Amino acid sequence: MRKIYLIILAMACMLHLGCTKYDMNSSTGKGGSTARFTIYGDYLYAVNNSKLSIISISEPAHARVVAVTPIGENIETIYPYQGKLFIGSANAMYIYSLDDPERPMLEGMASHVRACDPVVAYGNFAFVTVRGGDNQSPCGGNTNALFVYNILNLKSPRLLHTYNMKNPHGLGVVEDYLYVCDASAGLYVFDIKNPARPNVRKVLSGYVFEDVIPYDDLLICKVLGGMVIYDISNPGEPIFVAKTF
Amino acid sequence: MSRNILIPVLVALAASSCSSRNLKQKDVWVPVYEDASKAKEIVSLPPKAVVTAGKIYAYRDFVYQLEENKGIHVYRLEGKEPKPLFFIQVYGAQEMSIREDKLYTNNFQDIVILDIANPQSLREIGRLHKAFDMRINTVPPTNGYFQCVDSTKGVVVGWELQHDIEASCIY
Repeated sequence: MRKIYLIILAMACMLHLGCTKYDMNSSTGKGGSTARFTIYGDYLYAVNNSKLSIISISEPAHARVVAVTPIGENIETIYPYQGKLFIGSANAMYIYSLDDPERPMLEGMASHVRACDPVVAYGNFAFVTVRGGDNQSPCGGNTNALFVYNILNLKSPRLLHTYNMKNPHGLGVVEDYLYVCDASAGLYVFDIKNPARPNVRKVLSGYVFEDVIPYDDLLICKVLGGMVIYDISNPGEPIFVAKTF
Repeated sequence: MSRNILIPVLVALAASSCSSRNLKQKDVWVPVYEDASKAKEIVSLPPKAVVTAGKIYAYRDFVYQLEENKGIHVYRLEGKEPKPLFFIQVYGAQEMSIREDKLYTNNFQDIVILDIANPQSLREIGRLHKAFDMRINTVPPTNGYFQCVDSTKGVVVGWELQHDIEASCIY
């Protein structure tokens, strides 16, 4: 009997593989795209400026650092996706495999952009915001844009598309839609039915948008001064619900 | 000049100016100190207004926002609206993550593990000393004059902007 349940569960998981909607009953929470801490399985992964710390949390009261791995310079963010860690630094986007969760292995990187800041992944694509030095960012360069990579071949991510923005920060993705925080220029809602060519569906204004978490039917936004929540039951048409300030 | 070059120059200036003369300045950042032991105390307090909105997080029907270097605002989603529940005081906090009712955050350079199953009486169940090697609170929030940090006074838990007082450090 138990076996049948497991098979059903496995099938349900497979059916949901392409679906990015977040399950609010999950035992692990969800952070924004500008985080330095992330939990994957029994491990907490933490990045400082140059290193990745791997912390075993299978017994939280006896959490311990199992390894510290040098990554590169000016690391800012870490984002887990389907057994991989995407690490954003001022010079590169790194992709590490978690096949052995205690020994992440570098699988690929894209270093030809000064890719400051956040990365999110979506199927065979990765979206990265690049924020230039003229926007008080430590990244240097003069580029302010959303980059779309094809990551089918992890060893050499291929830049597919660039969309110029004013001051892009955090970003979040759900099925068919991408949300990008462009600070005071607004929250961009992109249609990504064709992920290689994000298409602006609308731009929400009124706040200085810095990061987002798509969370089931809600879009939780970090803005200057606090938090704003939108209903994204219809993901292409966010509706304002509340703010905390 | 790009900001990349500007920052080291300012830091170099800051280092050199610390030992020089004191002069009254219009706007001065003043460090706020706390006893080293108090700075590591983690407690649950009534909700507070957001001052410096930090990173966000979601777990079950709770949403969280860091108050940079001060702690974590906790909200419960009632329907779709976040209702303030309480504030977890964690000095130096900048990051958080949650799994199975355990909250992982940083208390300055220590990673601390909090049991949040009963949010009113949260418990620190673990601490990894110096596991998060970031420079936190060693410089003021914005560029300008500041009173040099005196580590004999305790741990810097924040900065306060004061006016027309002496300052001998610049950032």
